[in-house]
Amino acid sequence: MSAYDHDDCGPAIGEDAIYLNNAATSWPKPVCVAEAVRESLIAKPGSAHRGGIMDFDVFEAVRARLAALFGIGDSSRISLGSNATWGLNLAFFGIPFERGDTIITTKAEHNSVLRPVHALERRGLVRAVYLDVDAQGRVQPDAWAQALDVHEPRLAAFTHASNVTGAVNDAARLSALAHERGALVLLDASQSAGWVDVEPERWGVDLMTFTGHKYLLGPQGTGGLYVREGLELAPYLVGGTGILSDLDTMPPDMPIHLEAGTGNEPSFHGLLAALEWAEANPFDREERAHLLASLVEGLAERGAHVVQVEGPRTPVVSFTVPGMPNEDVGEVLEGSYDVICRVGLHCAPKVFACLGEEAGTVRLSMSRFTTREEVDVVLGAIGDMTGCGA
Amino acid sequence: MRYACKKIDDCFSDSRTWQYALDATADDLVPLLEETGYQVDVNRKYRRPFFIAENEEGLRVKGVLNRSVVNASFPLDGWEESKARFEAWLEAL
Repeated sequence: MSAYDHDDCGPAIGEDAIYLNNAATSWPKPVCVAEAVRESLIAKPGSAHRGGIMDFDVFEAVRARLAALFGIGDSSRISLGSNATWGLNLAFFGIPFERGDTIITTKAEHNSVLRPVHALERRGLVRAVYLDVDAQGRVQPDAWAQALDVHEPRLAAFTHASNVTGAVNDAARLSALAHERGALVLLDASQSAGWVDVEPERWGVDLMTFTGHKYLLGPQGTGGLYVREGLELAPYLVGGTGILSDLDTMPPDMPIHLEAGTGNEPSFHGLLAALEWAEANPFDREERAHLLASLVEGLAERGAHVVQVEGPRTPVVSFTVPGMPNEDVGEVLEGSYDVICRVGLHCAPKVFACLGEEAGTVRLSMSRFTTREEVDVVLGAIGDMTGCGA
Repeated sequence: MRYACKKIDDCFSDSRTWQYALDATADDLVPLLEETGYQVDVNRKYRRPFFIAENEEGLRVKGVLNRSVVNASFPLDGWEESKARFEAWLEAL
């Protein structure tokens, strides 16, 4: 018997689903994104890095768009790859650490940061310090400065926004504090790019990773790494580049210095379409903030224990329902109400002790497309679970 | 009762949850679970009624009543035996 013979299994996700898992990957995408991917697959492939003036190089076009979005003066400082994890690995394994160096990072980090740091620790190359964050999931600048003073790290790495609580860090201040103490700064903008302003050069960030498939609305398989002028990474991945094939090593110039292998041309066409669409269709931040606030307040009114976040935040809410395991809440939301959310540790396992939620949380993450009616369905569902209809 | 099953992974390395696609709906399964000694809680307030059944050894079976897919989470200790017993029970239905 096939598990897929059943018409009545119910769609995992369909037109009627209420998708609130945008911190994992955004959905829906603007229609033009899928069209751009499709057209790219049908069209003659581009010749990245080899084309003449008449050839369209999608990677260069994406780089230019991203440079404008992020306030980066020289777009060649952005290497493009498969996702933020790709960029983080290039950063962590490309910095010429010396034995005994220290990395300071935070307990709010995603495993895409924690696991490379742990791998470097296991090699005996670096010592890692994991700084507590506050009960909102935010790095406290005073604690950050104190930890920098005590540990004198070679690298300070932190997320711009918690993927669990949505709390946005003051990247400019944290970066300045690290630089004052001689540390390189690596910023993970996976959760913030496309939702809040991200300005690595203005903030003095040395390295910054981002992904294209979350709030930038592009397809999966797109991301990148910004490396500031004057900083050189040893390529963690080496291989073909399509040009300078007579060299034994990766070409020295950015961005190709870090771009081994064939690029994901169709997906970057999709990301380019998304970036162009988003520029032409900016979302109303105030209206989104109001809707997010109504979701947070509504959850609390219905008896959910909500991780409250003040100040700048992404559209992410973490909560638990007293008396119900998180996985039950998630299964009821999806099975009984067609609400797609995420439960558990959200790939950020260290943060929950700081939040006082050791068993993890249920996470709802809105998008620019989330409607008031969808929020009302969620609140109704939580009210049914808690018995507090509000 | 015939079934197909697939392990469901989550955030925890000790997860012991499998999804079962049955050739019947949970409506049919729930009374049989009750007869077998499971404590069954059916919540009909939900837009689609949802059940959670648990037996003495800690095996939890959950799902939407009119659907043919349920999730079964087996106890950490002795999960293999528990899973074998559950599947033998399904096959005997």
